[in-house]
Amino acid sequence: MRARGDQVGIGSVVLGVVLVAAGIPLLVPRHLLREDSAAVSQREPNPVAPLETSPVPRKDSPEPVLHVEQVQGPKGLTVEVATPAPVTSPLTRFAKDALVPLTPDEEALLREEHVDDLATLVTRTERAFQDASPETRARQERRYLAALNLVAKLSAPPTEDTHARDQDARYQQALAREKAKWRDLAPEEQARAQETFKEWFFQGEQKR
Amino acid sequence: MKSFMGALRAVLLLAPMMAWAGPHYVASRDWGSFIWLSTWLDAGQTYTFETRDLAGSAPDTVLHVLRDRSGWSQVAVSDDCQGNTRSCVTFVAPDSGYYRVWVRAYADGRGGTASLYRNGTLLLSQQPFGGVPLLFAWNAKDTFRASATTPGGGDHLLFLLRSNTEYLQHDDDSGPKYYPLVTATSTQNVGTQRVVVGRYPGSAGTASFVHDEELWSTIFDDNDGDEDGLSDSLEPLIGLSPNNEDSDGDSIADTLEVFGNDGFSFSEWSSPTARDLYVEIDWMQHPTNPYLTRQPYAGLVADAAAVFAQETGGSVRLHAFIDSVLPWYEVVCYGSCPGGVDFYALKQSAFSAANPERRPYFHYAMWANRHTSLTSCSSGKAELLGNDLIISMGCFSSPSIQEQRGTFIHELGHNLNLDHNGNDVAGQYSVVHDSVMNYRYQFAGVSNSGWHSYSFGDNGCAACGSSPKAECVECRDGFLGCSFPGCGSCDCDVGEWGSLELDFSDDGDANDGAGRVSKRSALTRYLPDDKGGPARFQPRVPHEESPLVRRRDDVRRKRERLLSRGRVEGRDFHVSADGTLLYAECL
Repeated sequence: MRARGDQVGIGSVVLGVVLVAAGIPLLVPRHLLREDSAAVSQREPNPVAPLETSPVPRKDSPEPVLHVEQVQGPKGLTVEVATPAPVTSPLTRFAKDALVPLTPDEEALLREEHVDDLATLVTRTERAFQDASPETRARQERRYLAALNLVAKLSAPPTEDTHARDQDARYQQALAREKAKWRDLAPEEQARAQETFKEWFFQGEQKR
Repeated sequence: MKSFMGALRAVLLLAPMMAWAGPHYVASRDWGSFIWLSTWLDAGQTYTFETRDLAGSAPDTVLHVLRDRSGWSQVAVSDDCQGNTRSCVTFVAPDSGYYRVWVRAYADGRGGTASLYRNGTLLLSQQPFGGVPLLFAWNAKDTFRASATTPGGGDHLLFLLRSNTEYLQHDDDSGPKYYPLVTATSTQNVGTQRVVVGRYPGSAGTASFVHDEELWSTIFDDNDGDEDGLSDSLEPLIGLSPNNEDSDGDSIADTLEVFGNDGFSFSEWSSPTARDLYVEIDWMQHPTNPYLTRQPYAGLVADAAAVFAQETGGSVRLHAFIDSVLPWYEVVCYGSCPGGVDFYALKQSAFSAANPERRPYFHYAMWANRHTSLTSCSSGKAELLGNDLIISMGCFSSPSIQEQRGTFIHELGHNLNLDHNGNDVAGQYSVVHDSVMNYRYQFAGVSNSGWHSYSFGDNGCAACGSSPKAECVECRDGFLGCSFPGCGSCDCDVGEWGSLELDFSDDGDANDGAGRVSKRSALTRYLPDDKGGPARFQPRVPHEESPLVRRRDDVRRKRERLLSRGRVEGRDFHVSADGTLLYAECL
C-alpha cells in the first residue's frame, strides 16, 4: 500500500511538472478540498458580516455615481437602466470629452481632485474658496474658476432654437420701431423705456 | 367674538388674492444652468461685472450681484447693457466679503453661453447660462420646490423676484436631497413677479417645479383633504387625487413621488401617476471559485423592466437594482436551518444598508446558491404576497440568461400573489397557460419563445371566457377533473397584482405607513412650526425586522386572505412549520 502511495506521489510530481510546463495552474479552490462544506459551516456558522453604513452625506460628498442610459428592449420598448459609472481617472475622462484643450490650471485641478461629476467639483472648490484664509484665497479662487471653466468646456454647445430665434427677430424689429420714438429721450430714460417695452413684449409672447 | 371678527376681516381682505393666486406645476424639464459665481469683494472698491461674447439662438443675460448679510439682498443688477442683450453693472462694494454673481437668461429660450468679466479681466469663459422665469402671483407662506426627476439628478436653484430686476429670495438646497425649497415671505400679485428655476453650474438633469398654496393656514383648518402634503387645488393639476394620499396605488405616497426625499429619492425614479415597483438584488460571491459565484447577468435589470413595460403598457414600471455583494453561504433559509444562514439575518445587515429609507418600499431578492438544504435543487423560493425572494440556482452549473431572467420574474410574481396556477405536478404542466408562472415556461419563456411574461400574447387575459385559466381547466379535465380547486373562477394573472397592497414592514397589514400611508401618519412626517411655518419632510424610516409573534400573526392574516381568494394551502402556498413564513415552493 505504501509503495503504491509512493508511486502515486511520484506520478503526481511528474504530472505536476507537465501541467506547469503546459501553463495549467495547480491551485485547487479551497472549497473543493473540504469534505463537506455544509458540515463545516454547521460546526462553525459564518457570522453575518455587518455591512458598513455611510455617515450622513454632505452635498459634495462622493456618492456612487450611476450612469443612466435608455436601453432598447424587445418590440421597441425603452427602459431606463442605471449602472455604475466606468472607473477611469477624471483627467482622462474629462479631457477626452472637452471641446477645447484644457489649461494647465484645469489639468492640475483634475489631478488633485478625484470626482465623478463636475457639479461636485464645482461645489468642492467653491467651498474651499469660501473657507480660504486671506493668504490662500487667490489660489483657491483660481482653482474654483478653473472648475467653472472646465464645466463650460465640457458642456454641450447651445442647440439651435428656431422658435427663440424667430421670437428674437420679432423683438428686434419691434424694438427698432419703438426706439425711433425715444430718440429725443435722455439715455437713462431710453434705458427705462426699453426695459418696460421688453417686459411688455415678452409677457405678450408668453401668452401667445 | 373679537377673534371671529378678525378672522372674518382677514377672509374678506384675502379672498380676492386667494382666488387669483393658485398653485402651479411644471412637469419635468431641462431648466438650463445658471452662472452662479462666488467672488470676494473689498469694501469701498469699485467693481464692474459684465457679460460678453454671448452665443446661442437668442442669448440675453440678466446679471444680479447678491450679498448675504444675515439674509440675502441685492447689491446691483443689470439687464441690457447700453441697449444690448449683454449685461454690465458698476458699483461700490459696501463691505468686504463673499458676494454672488448670478447670471441668467432673460426668458425661456434666451439662454446660451457668455463670458464673465470683472473689472475688464476675464473670469469665466463661454459659460452656459439659462434658467426659466415663470410668471404668476403667490401668497405669503406658499411653497416653491424644484425636485429632480432624473436618477442622480441635477442640483437646482430657485429664485423669487418682485420684477425682472428686483430680487426677493432664493434657495439652493433646503429641501430633501438638497433640492431647493422656498417659503414665500411676502405676497406678490402686482403682475411683474416671477419665479426663476435653473441648475447649479456643472450639474445636469431635469426637474419638476411645484408651487403650492400654504398648507397650514392660520385661517382655514386644512386645505389638504388626504393630508399628503399636497393641497387639494394642486393635486388635480398634477393628475393626482385630492382624496387619496397614494393616487397611483403603488404604496409610495404622492408626496415622496412628487417632492422626493433624502437618500434614495423617489422623485428621481418614480411617477406619482404610474405604479412603480422596486427590487433590490444582492448576490453571493464565492470566496475562491468565480464559477460558483451567483451574480445576476448584467442585462437582467433592463430585461426585467422591459417585461413589466410590455406586460402593462407602461402603467407599472419595475426598477430593479443589482446592489451589494453578500458573503458566501452554501444554503440560505427563511429562518434558521442546519448548515445554512438565516435569510432574515443576512437581509438585516445587507438590505439597503446605505439607504434605509427605501426599505419599506423595496422587495428584496437574494441571488444565492441553494435554499432550505444542500440537497435542494429548487431554483427559488419566494414569499407569496410578500416582499422577499430567493433565487437559488446552485444546481445550474452556469445558469443561462434565460434561466436567470425567467426565475427572477417567476419568483417576483409570487411576491405579487401569483401562484403556479395549478401547474405544480411534474410532467403535467399546462401547455396553454402561457405564463412564466407555469414551470413549463419558466426557463423556456412563454410559448417557448425565450421571452418571459406573466400572461402576454395570444393567450393573454383578453376576456375571462377565453383566458388561459379557462382553457387550463378544460385542458386538465382529462387527468385532474373539473372540481380541481381554484379553477372554477376566472383569475387572470396580470389583472391581479396591480391592485395589491403589500405589507413591506411585516407588521400585519398593508395600510400602516410602510406602504400606503395612513391619514394621520402623513401629517406626522412633517414638522410644521407654529401653524404655517416651513414644513420639512422627515424621510428616514427606521427599519426593524418584526418579532416572531408579529410575523406569525402576519402569516395568519395572509393565509386567511389567500384562502378567501380560493388559494389552496399545500398546493398554491405553504406555511412553514413554525408559522413565520408563507411561501411558494418552486421546483
